Amino acid sequence: MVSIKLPQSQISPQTKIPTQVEFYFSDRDLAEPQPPTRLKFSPQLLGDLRYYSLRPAAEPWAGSSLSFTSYHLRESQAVAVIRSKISLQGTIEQQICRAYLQQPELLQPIANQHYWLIEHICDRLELNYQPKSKLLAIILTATIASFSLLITLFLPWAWPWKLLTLGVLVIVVYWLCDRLITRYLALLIGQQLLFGVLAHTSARRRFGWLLWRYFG
Amino acid sequence: MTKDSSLAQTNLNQWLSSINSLLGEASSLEIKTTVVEEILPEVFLPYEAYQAIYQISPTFLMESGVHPSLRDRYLKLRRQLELQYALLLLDPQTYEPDPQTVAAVSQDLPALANHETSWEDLPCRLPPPTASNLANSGLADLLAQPIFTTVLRQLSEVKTVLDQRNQHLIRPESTPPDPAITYIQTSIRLDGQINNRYATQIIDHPQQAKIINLHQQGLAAGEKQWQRLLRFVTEIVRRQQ
Repeated sequence: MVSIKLPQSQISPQTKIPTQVEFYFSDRDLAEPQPPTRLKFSPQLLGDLRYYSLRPAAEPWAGSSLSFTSYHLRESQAVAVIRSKISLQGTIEQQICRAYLQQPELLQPIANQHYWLIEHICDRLELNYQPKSKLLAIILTATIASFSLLITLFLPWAWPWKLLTLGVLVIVVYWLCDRLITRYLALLIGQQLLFGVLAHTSARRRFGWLLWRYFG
Repeated sequence: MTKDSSLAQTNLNQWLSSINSLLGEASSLEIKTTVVEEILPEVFLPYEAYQAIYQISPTFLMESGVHPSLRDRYLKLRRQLELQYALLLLDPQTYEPDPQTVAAVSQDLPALANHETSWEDLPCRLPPPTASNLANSGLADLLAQPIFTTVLRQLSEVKTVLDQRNQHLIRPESTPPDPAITYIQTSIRLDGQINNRYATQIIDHPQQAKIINLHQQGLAAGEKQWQRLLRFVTEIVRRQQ
């Protein structure tokens, strides 16, 4: 089974960012007649891949492109065979190692799997959004309303007044919570996921994408 | 608001504007297939690249034994770095230049921009790359400027090529590495027009069919990969705006 790695560079004392995507093929991988129809990525790897695909625009000096390199494992040595650099502006540069042009029996299966893997990764980047902002607003409103109900029980008001106050409170709190969550939560998660505390390590990025899936 | 979250917000705003400008530039899909001797790891360290170009001077080139035919090209790198910094100094969005600096830099700019004129006598404004400076002279801020580091990266790539050529010129007995050749370049414009460009070396290349086949394969796959990547990024951007 092909091995996928994302080497990371320490760009600040707290933050390590992925620098390229690497695929490693052993002769056994290349002997397999067909690539798998679907690869399973760990949530951590998927989180790093998503993060990596958004970062180049933040570091234009890094070339503004995503780099995917396929290596052939040969006698405990990894030789880079093919590299694709994809930029958002629509430039794709592919580099091929000259020595492998003379070994089509190795180059062709590596190239086939290389293209297939990149396509598969790009396919898997998309988030299966499951918005839960309304649900969060309802939970917050219900919590606040429950506390308010407890307080109103001790107030020396007539019941119609208590219920009216509670009703108005529920409407205002729900409106406020819904507005705040929709407007600011996605922004806050985005900021922290790309540049803040959720960007520092793979585990935090994984958690950040989970939050994004529900509240992004 | 804490300093960190304010920084994250500033970075996010810059990121959004950078993505918008990158997407705005996407008017065609371009695919190049290059054959290289060796696919090298891509490492770019801004501080080291800055240091290497900053130290270039006629004396330095002579003392380092750089071949005389290449010295002007090395000096051009240094001039371009100085020019980029001068342009940054005049940019009110990057720095807040005082009128005196603006006047002085504006006066030197024509000499820096014109490759025919001498510029070595002009005052050097680039901050010197010393360890103490990195922390407190604004060098770290300068190296964090996207425009500056993009130019620095390009200059550093040119310097690597010059270094290789210099090695070959000063030691002619060494075998020069085979150059990287871009054999095919295809551009697909948004209006559907397709342009293919072939390097002359492909005409009698023994692996001609293989290279063309790999290019076609990369083209077909690249189109899909780019579209999917774009879809993911635009969705994230849309939700942040």
